[in-house]
Formats: sequence, structure tokens, C-alpha cells
Amino acid sequence: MPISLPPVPKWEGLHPLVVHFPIALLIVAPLFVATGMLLWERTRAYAVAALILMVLGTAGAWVSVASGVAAMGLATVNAEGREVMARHQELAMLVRLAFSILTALYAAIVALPLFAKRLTPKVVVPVHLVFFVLYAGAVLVLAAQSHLGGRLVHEFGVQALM
Amino acid sequence: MLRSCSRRLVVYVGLLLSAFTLVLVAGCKSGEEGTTPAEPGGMKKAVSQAEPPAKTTAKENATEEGAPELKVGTTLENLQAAFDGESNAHKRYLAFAAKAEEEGYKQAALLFTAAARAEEIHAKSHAKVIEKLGGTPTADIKEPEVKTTKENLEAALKGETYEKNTMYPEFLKVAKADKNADAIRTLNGAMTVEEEHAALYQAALDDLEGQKAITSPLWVCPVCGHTVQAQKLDFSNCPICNTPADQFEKIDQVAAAK
Repeated sequence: MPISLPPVPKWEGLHPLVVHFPIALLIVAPLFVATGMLLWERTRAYAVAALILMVLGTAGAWVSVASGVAAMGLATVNAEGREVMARHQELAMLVRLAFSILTALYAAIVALPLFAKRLTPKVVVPVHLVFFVLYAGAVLVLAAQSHLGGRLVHEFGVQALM
Repeated sequence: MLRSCSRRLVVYVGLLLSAFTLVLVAGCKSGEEGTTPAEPGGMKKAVSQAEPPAKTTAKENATEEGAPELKVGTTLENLQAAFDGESNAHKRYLAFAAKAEEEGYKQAALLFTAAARAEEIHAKSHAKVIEKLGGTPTADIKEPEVKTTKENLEAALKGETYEKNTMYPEFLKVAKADKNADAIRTLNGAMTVEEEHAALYQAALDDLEGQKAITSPLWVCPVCGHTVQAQKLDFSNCPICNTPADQFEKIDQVAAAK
């Protein structure tokens, strides 16, 4: 059997290809945030890496929501499945908003040294802890909405246009 | 020396990336070509491995007892058939609404009015896709057979049940095999809404006496025809097509039959 690459997906079929990237990027980002916090006085590389992950993850979330909205009209599901889909969409929009705000917030944290040259751990650590609490809340919503997406595929048999 | 080496490295990496991109694009194109050959008019022959072979030539199917015979053809032919069905349903429901109003079944009259509006929306949606595929939407509008409201509700329920269980699922198989997103969207939306209509008609039949007083308005999505019977909408966007709820049309008056 000859090997051939998959066809270029249509916009309506893009959703399953893009949704996993923001989930992975946004869940991995706090590890870099934590490392960035611990090494704050030695290097800013981890903090910048975390910010890049968050920017990419948030951008992925925007693309995921947009492609999901395009795909929803093509999904054949029963009434219960439609309820799950509506909840999935609602939470996805909340996730998009939450991570957009968190990314902006973390960008401000990373940019803090430009305005306050000497930042001691007494300032850096509490700021990060508050950020972690907010981030954990957003990750919970992300997990909930991702689970609903999984239910749509594996429980209700929703398939993308490939 | 070092600068020259790094320049060479940049050139090599650039060449490598370009070659990789070319291979990727060529591979994707060959993958696309390997799926289904295109038919004239932008339509593809219905071939699907996941589903039973779709019918690309007009074929008559045996259906439920008393239900109309279903002809499954190409996506364009199916859309024409669906357009004809929705256009006739629009006219029929307006006539049923007038009859229900005349007999004093005010809530049933509202339901028929809302369903008529939804069918009109489906017809327009199908028409747009037909035009996109190069066809001209045509409908053979028949004079509706109007009986008592109870019989009209039964006839409407039967029609919606046939559409949601037989007609649209078969048409969708062909559209999905064609990978025609526009056709899938319009057929899928209509099928989902017909399911709602069937449930609303069944509820009206179960409580026919309760149809004499208006208990609740109906709401119709202007894009997909999603029909809801409620005092207020409890969602922010249409669960079928994502249209904002504030754009839904409120049906609280019986439309005049045209």
C-alpha cells in the first residue's frame, strides 16, 4: 500500500487537529513558571519560555474555539449530546478568556524588572503564588471542557469532517 | 571563518526546510487526489469506507409503511428534494396554523406558525447550497390537504418523523461521503430541528385540550430554524449553529397563510 500524507484539512475539520496543542502547552507552562520563579535572580530564560508557551497555548485556544464553532453545525448528535456540546463550547470560551487574561498577567510579571530593578524573593514569590492559584482554577476549567470534548467523540460519536 | 560557516549552515537549513515543505505539500495533494474523483459541477462521487456505500445514482428505497418513497441521488439532487419538501411544509404548516386558530387551538396555531417559519429557513438554507453547487432551487408547491387540527398534528408528526428518521439521515450519508461541509451543515441542521418539531407535535397531541389557551411563545433561530417553546431562552447561543439567542425570532402571533 503506497504511503501518502493526509489531505489538507478543511476549516470545519481542523478542530480535532488543533485542540490538543493548547491543552498540552497550557498544562506544561506552569512548570516553566515555577522554574522561572526559583531561578528568578539567576536567569529569566525559564520565565520567557513559560510566557512563550502561554502565548502559543492561548493562541491555540482561540483557533480551537473558532474551528470548534465552525465544526459544531456538522455534528450529528442527539439532544443529550447537544447539551454536552453547548456546555463544552461555553467552557471553551471561558478557558479562552481566562488564559488570555493570565497570559497578559504573566507578561506583566516577566516585564516587572524593567520597572523595578531590584525585585527580592519577598515580592517575586507571593506574586507567583497568587498567579499559580489563578492558573490552577483556569486549568480545572480547561480539564472540564476537554473532558466534555472527549465525551462528544467517544460517547456520542461526533466525528470531524476529514 | 566562523561567519562563513554559519552562513553556509543557514543556507543548508533553508534548503532543507524548503525541500521538506515541498514534499509535505506534494504529499498532501496526492493524499487529497487519492480520496475521490471530482464530478462535474464541483461534486464528488460518494465513496466512503466508514459508512455503507452512498448512492450516487437516483435510487428508490422502501420506507416505512405509508411514508413517501425516498429517492436518494447526488448531494445536489437530495438538496433539491429537501428544498421541495421544506417549501411544501412551510405552506402546509401555515394552512394548519390558520385551521388551528379557526378551531380555537391557539397554542397549536403558534406551534404551526413557528414550524412554518423554521421550514422556510431550512428551504432558504438549502437553496443557498444548491446555488453554490451550480443548481437552481425549484419546488413543486402543492395545495395542502387541511383536515381537523388533531389530524393535522398527526400528519405533521408523521412528516417530521419521516424526515428525521429516513430522509435526512440518508441524504446526510451522501453529503458526508462527498465531504461537502455546506450540505452537511444545512441537512444536519434541518434534521435536528425536525426532531424538535416531532417532539413538539407529539406533546401537542398528548395534550390537545391544553392547546386551546396560549401557554408559551415559541422561538425560532433565524439561521438553522432551531425551535424552542419557552417563556424565555435559557441559552446564550443557539446550540445547533451558535447564533446569539438575542437574534431568535419570537413567535407569539399566528402568521397568515399565504
